[in-house]
Amino acid sequence: MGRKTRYGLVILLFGAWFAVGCGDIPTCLDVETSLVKINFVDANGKARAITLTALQAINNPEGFPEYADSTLSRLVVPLNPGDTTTTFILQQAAQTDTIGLSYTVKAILISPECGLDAAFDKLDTTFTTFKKLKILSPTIHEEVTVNIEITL
Amino acid sequence: MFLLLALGSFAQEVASPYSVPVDSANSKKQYFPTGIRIGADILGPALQLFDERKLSYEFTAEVDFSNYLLVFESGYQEFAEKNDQVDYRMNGTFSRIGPAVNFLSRDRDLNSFTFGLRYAWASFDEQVTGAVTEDNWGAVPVDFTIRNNTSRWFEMTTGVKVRLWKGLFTGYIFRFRFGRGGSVPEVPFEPYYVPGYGLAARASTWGFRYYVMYRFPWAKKPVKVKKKN
Repeated sequence: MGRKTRYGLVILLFGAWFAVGCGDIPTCLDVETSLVKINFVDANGKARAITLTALQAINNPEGFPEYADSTLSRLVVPLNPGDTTTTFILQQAAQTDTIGLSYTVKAILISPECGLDAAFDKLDTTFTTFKKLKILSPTIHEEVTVNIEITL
Repeated sequence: MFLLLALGSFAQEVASPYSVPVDSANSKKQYFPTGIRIGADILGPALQLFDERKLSYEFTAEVDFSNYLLVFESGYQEFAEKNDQVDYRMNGTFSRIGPAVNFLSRDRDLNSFTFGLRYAWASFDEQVTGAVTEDNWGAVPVDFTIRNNTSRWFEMTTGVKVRLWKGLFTGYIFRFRFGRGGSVPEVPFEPYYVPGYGLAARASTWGFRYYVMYRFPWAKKPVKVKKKN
């Protein structure tokens, strides 16, 4: 075996050593969220609580039982990944309010092992019965603390 | 690095049938191409023996201009996986073109240690079937076919090629890929795997390929040789 051939083989083995573990390792880290965060405030911007008897959404017959008969100043609810609009119905003892939200949604393959997820963005309102509603952030992301502020 | 220095010093001691020293007669010709080196990646087909999800073929061609090279690479990749959660399939082609500089410009056997830049582009199809599951909304079925996705990116490369026997070379190349952009699919699905690049969600990726190449010369390459004292 010639000297150059030996050099070549050494380089071949050197490269093969580097090749080990050079693949794409899947990480099942779910970085997306479907949760829209709604704060209720008074005219001075301070948190103000409402008492819900029920929270429902169109095309979701089961509703959100975890919010039944609860008093809260912050509502965190998931958007429908199967549509680009979601309408929430907030039932209180004396009145019922609705919030219609529009957004973009696209499917993301985290990895074949981890499955699919949905990414939401460009949040907006289509209609609402609340007198004053402001979009503070149209981005649906875990790091966003408030998407919508409703002044009661 | 020791290996490269050893190669360089070894090459200078022995007359080479592949090059001629630069002198006043041929100094103007040193920037003329003297051959084309073409090759194929052997790592991609080898890795398929261990991972049937990926199929990868890649070819390369390079022409020399003194200690510079013009490199063109092209390939085909498939990625497919089906499990209980998702059925994903991708297939497409990619190409790269760019310059490289050879730091072993004095090597009379035309071995090379290069640093290069590439502009790369890919065209690919994707198909995904599965479901997105969200709290309170259940499982929403997903069934998309995306045709003619395109993507482009840049690469920095470094690699080594060594002459094994006559015109036969072997060597490897490392790639750092970055700056990816591309078309936005009409369907609401984010591209997952880009041929030649890897996972689309990553801002940068690393790559490694192992080539077997053959050089077809049409002239002996003028090579600068150190003068002995």
